[in-house]
Amino acid sequence: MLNQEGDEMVPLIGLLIGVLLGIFLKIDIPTSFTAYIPVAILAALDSVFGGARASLEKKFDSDIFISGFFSNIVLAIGLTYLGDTLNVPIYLAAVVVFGSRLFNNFAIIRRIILEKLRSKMKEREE
Amino acid sequence: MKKLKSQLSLAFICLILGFMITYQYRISYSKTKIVDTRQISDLVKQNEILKKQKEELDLKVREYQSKIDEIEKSVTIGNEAVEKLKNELDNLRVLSGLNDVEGQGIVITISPVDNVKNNYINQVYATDILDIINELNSSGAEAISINEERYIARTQIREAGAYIKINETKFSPQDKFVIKAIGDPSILEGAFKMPGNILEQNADRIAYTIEKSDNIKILKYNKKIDFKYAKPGR
Repeated sequence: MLNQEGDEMVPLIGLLIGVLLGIFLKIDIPTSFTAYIPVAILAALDSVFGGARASLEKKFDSDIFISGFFSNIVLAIGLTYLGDTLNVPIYLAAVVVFGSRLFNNFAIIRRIILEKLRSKMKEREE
Repeated sequence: MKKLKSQLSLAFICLILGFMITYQYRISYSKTKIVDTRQISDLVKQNEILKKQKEELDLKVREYQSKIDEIEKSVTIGNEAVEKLKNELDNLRVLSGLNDVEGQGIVITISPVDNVKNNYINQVYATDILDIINELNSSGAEAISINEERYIARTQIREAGAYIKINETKFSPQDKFVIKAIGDPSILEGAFKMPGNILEQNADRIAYTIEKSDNIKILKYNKKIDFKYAKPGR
């Protein structure tokens, strides 16, 4: 049990390190790229939520997860770039799709957690 | 083992995500804060007040300057040596642009052409003004001012952001610029009548008028000149 909790801490530690890196590392991404970061963040968030859902459903596959993460980011940035060059706000497509998927994934995660809690409660009552 | 690997990959992705989010946060907050319309109107008001203040202070400067002139004159009366010194001082002031001067000369007005064919906005560039001043100097101008900013040895004319800065005063490059020069009017005008002169070269961008005048008044350089590093040599 304790070991399992320790495992679940690993992504959180990763997130923490990332936040610290973001705060303390003075990396300067070229300003021409800064427009793409928000879309990339959305894509990354989508992948993380997808990964969390998959792991709750016990269907998590790290290869699919990592490839999905990077291809999502690349596709989102590519779409934004294409939109910028064509002067068509294609990035909206990425925002809408990733946003709706975020909500979907979150809903499923919530349901899974609720079901787990309920089954636990039932076990206790019995 | 497989579980650890998947956790590590998740951690790695979270690391990237965390980095991106904090980076974006830092960027969007380090940029100049967005000003809302209320602040803008406040700033406009402040700007107007400061402009008025500046005008008043400019008036005061001129007032005091005339007082100084009077005092200098009263001191020189009846004393030959002092009078000579005063003359010398006046000459030096004319030389360095610290006196108002008047005389015959020309007035050149340049303004960007409203180009209907192209939809980009035309503007005057600092180099246009510099070229004209260079030409004026080469044809013997004795005093030059641009929009009442006296051209002296340390005058800078450069584009700074959306403005052209002359003697630290900002002018909009879309407005007209009035360049006054004192000197022999026909020679000065001649410099801009030769075929292929600078004004003619840029006639598609810049509209210009040249007026000869017998009485041009050029104001003095009205800012402080400091010499911090340059000391008189032997």
